[in-house]
Amino acid sequence: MEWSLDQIPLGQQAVVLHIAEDTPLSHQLQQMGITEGVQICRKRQAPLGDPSVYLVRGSALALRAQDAAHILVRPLHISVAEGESPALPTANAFPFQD
Amino acid sequence: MSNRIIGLVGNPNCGKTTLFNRLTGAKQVTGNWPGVTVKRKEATVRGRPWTLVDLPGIYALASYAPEETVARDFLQTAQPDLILNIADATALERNLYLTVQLLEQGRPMVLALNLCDELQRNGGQIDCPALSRRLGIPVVPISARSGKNVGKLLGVLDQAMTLPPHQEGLAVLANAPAQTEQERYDRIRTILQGIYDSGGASGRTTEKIDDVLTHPVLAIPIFLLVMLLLFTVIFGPPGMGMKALAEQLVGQVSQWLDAALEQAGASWWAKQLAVDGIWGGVGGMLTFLPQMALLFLFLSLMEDSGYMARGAFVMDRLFRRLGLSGKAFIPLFMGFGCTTPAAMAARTLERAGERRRTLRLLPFFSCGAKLPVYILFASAFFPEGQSLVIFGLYLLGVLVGIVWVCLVEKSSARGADPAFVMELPPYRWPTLSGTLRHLWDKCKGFLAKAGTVIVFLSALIWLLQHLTPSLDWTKQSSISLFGCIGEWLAPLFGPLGFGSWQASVSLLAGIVAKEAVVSSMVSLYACGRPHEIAGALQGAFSPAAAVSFLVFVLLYPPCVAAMATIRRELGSWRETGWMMAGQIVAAYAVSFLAYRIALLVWPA
Repeated sequence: MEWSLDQIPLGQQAVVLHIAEDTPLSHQLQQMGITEGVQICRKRQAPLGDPSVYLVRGSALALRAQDAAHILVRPLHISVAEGESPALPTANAFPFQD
Repeated sequence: MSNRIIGLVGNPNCGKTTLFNRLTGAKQVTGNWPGVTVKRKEATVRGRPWTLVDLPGIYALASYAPEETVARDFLQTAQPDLILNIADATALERNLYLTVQLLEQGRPMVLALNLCDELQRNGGQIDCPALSRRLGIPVVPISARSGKNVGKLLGVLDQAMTLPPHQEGLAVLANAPAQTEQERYDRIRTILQGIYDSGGASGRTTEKIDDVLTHPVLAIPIFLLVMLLLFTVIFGPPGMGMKALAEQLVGQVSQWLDAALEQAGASWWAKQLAVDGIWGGVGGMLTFLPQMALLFLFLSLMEDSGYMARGAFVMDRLFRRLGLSGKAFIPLFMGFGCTTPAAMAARTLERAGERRRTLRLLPFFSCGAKLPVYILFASAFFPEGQSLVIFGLYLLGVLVGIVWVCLVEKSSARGADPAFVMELPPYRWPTLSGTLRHLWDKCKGFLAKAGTVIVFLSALIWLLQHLTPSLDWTKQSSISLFGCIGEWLAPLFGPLGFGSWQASVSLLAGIVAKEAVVSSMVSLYACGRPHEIAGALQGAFSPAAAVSFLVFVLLYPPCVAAMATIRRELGSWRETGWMMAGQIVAAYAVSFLAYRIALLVWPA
């Protein structure tokens, strides 16, 4: 099941599968920590609908839908209770894939 | 031996400038949004023969923004003896990305782990000795804010500066640099495996605050409410009370100066020059210091707390229509303070087109130095609706700017929307010392201007006002040199309703510094007596002319310092020239319209 990052519901945890290749944007996103295999959460939406805040590697990043659309993710089956912050991905929580 | 150089490198917002101040005692300004250090700053480390260079905050050694290029060029060309890398322990994975990239360069390095106290409060932990072993460089946990362990860091730096640390891990990373971002982050995962826990509570307070401040419905009303609060404080009883007090003080000094000079037997012209000319100008400007200080205090709190970055997040959607991103919100909003640093802050924008558009828009965001003019006129002509008039002016400036940029950009090709990737830093309490430092920095700039440019200008204006073209003394300023220049300029402003020579030369003086508009008016209309200026203006301007004059001041080109900075940032005289010409046209056209409309409300 693949989604583009901007499509997942608020509060949803997901794993990054793929980032559209080799544009300055894709490198910038990866430098900020959005790399394949990382856990990411769409946390909130700006009042005018865009951009959204994503939590990744312990920091909060604001991305526009049009930019987040370059990122493919697989939603994780973690339901997040209303009003509770999802746990941030840590080194231990997300085992190293190799 | 000459001074040795340490380069201070770190992500935006990780406490770099705070650590810099701790280590050097320098009065540097920090802000809680990405990209405060747009220029390289350096100072000597306390008690050590080292120069510490504070580089702009960067996420990586790539070059997406000019500030990243500044940092990279420095590391490559200046060859610092040591790199002091500071990382935010609460978002260590992301912060280590830069660390690993720096290590790959094979330069001696020390890592300062900042915000370790916050990490602990979040319930997380980090094993520093283990991290040090794995990275192969000294790692010191510190709290730049409280100053904890900064002494220990100095000790480690002492060691590292005398004998280069044995860095075996360094060799591994330097010999086999990662090829992709992915690979680098994989290495970081391996490095942190089992020794780092960011803590479950990380950012929970920030989340709660954001639930309110970036709420889908409440965010914009809250923002407007904050603005309203700002205006009420500055122009309501608190600000006006402080201004009245300052006026009293300035008046006292004026009397005292007059008496002192009288006693010393000073000549007529010396007394006039000192009391009415110089002190009239400087004092007139000083009466606005309290309100300017309040404005700067407010901007500083917005920056330091992290609210400014939320503004950028909330406003992004609106800014996109102008081909800008929310990031432009920060330099533009700073433009309400002072255009010069705001133009420099525009460097944090990654795309050249967006930078250019932001710089074009910036002068329309009314700077703090224009505020005295607004206060003076609004209190003289519209005492009832003072804050409303001033708020309206600010709004008008922004609107005209937007229309202007749309018109200009229509004719030139507009590229694709710039990407918008921005970190939202956690909310942090502004520290008292940080806020005071910020405030002092701004007030110092204002006072320095009062003590230099304005003293000089006031003296010059007084001389021009008391010398005729044939260089004889005169007490009648209408036949003075100034009067002649003004008479020549005045007809141009006739259609705008304020075709008097005094108004014309005041505007001219405002090109040097906007503060000079008020100081010239005080000397030309009220013979250097600040408390009489309101009455004198009521006699000289009709309400409609006052509106028109305010609009002209709002829109006409910024002061020379701001123009010079904008030119440097645009990198083109021609473009800057066109921009300023455009502003004159816009100011003239909109003032004319405003005058005609105001005449309908207040017929002459």
